[in-house]
Amino acid sequence: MDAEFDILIIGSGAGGGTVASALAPLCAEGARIAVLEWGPHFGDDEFTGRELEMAEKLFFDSGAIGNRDQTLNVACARGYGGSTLAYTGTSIEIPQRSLERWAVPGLMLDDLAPRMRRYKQQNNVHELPDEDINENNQLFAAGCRALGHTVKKFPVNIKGCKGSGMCNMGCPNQAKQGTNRVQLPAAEAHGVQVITNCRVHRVTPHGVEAEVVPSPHGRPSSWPSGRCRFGARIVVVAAGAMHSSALLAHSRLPVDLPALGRYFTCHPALTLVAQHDRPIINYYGFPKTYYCDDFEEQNDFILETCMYFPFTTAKSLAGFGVPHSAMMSDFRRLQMILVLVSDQAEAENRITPDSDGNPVLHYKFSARTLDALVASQRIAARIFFAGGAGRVHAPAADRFLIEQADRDRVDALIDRRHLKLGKISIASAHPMGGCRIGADRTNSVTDDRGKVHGLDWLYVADGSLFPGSSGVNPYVTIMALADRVAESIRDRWRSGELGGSRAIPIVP
Amino acid sequence: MDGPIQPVLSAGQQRFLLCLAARIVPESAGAPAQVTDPLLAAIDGELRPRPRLQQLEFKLLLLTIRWMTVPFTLHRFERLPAERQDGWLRFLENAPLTLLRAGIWGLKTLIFLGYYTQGGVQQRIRYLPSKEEGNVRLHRRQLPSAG
Repeated sequence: MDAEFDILIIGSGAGGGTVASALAPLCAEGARIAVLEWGPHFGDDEFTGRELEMAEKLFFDSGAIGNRDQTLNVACARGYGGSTLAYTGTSIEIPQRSLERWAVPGLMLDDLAPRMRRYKQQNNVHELPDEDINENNQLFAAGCRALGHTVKKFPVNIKGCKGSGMCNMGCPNQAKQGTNRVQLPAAEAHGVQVITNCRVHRVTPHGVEAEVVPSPHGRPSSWPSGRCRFGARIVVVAAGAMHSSALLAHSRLPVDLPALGRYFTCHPALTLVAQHDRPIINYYGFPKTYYCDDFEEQNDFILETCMYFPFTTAKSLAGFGVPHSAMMSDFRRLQMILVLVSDQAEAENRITPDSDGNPVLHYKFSARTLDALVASQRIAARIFFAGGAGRVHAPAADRFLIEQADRDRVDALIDRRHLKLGKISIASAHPMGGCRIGADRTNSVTDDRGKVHGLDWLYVADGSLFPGSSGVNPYVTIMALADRVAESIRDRWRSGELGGSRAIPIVP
Repeated sequence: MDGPIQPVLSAGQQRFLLCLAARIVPESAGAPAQVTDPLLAAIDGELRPRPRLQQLEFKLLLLTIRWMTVPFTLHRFERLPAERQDGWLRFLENAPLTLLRAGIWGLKTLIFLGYYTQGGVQQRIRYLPSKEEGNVRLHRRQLPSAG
């Protein structure tokens, strides 16, 4: 064994960073805690805002881990901070209706809510003042209100935002309060060691087999390059839904877990683009201010504002050639809406590992999800037109552009017949499930405290815990669940079960 | 001493890729090397780290598009008039087989990647973000103008 720890945490994103910060006070009681992070610790000046460069630096497979059918792409980031480096920072608490759908004994909103609020406070979560809201967002709000839909402001975790709009490529101004800015530095200050550029290949009983590989980016790792083995009393896997599931399946654990990797959900999303007849202020300012969840409970979808970059926008448009180029010819005239579907947890949607332990995604769209993707496009198109857009591109329309003059025919023009999987860019940034919590060992992987069934040394603490989709951005819910996991471990440590407290003698 | 790194695509495959790019993004047709070289380099950079099987699948897609028109038109794809080339690409984009549709989406994505990530192109389409002055320009209601 190259080193022994008391607690090893694999991954440094919303889950791993939260566990690290919640357990960090145990370092003063003698606990040896380390975080193993696959990616590098980027320097602030490495967030350049250049789309191609940042996609390759920040994301697995440049932001597009595809399913077997190549009909869905999932974005997972890596680096000190995990996917909190690259998400937009929207911080919505999981609603009661989602917890009721999950139906996990012992998992209650009145336990989760104070945890979510604590982390929102740590992360400076707040709503933007009206003067910081650009036209891309204002027109969405105006369109919603004109149609009688509810529009809400996203609470977001930013401090000192300069409105670069580059959130999804890593904030160049250190404004986004992800775990790289808040939880991990606090954990390190208490004595938690973070080992970057460290990929864990397998989880073994009370330890891991890992490898440190130098990266051309970021700071050097604190550990020498090469294969290594770390021992630990407790291992917490928080590598993100896709990589946690693959890692545990690849590790051949000494227990039977029939649900491992299964019940994967991901909020499949489409970007819709509209063109105005005049330039608008769209990419200056924070990109994601408003959302409408009127349709989540009955129709399985929500609508959000978004503003992406030229390549990401181009690939979101079905079609090519002259009409595509015309749409792209003046980026200032574009307005965007993201539609996300709350997909259902199905056993056959799952993650398996390939021979190297990388995640392979088996995901098929259900009829219900496809119906929601179509219905959401119709609503989005109406919102665009109500906000004054001249024409709308909807991937499930029978034509490249629907003109204002045809706004009353949206329901006929946007139809399931035209939604051709593979032709359009269905994406996800919310991978969930694969190691889901539950009481029944036949269809869950962990208990409600993230402890893997049948193993008292192994926990999971990330979005893979979700029994089903959350219906909202999962970030704050992940932190709350990870906090519960950490609390359970902390209680075990302080009871002496894990070797107990070892007060470090104070030398005068 | 190691020689220069060979591109994933052969010179012939790169020429055919540019022919396809001219249909996907018409502005790239006849574009100078300062546009086409970075386009091809970006695509090569994207293909290079992929497994050999994926690289082979992409080459097979190019080959298929190039030759599938022959039984119907007696000409390879690149010899057809532009309008007919567009027709064939639209057919493939809407093909009954998901695999073909996904292949065309992948082809388009690579071409868009090679084209729309170029600084000069972004300037031309008036995508002129500011790292530090986004909110300043928002508050001033200052629209981006061509650089």
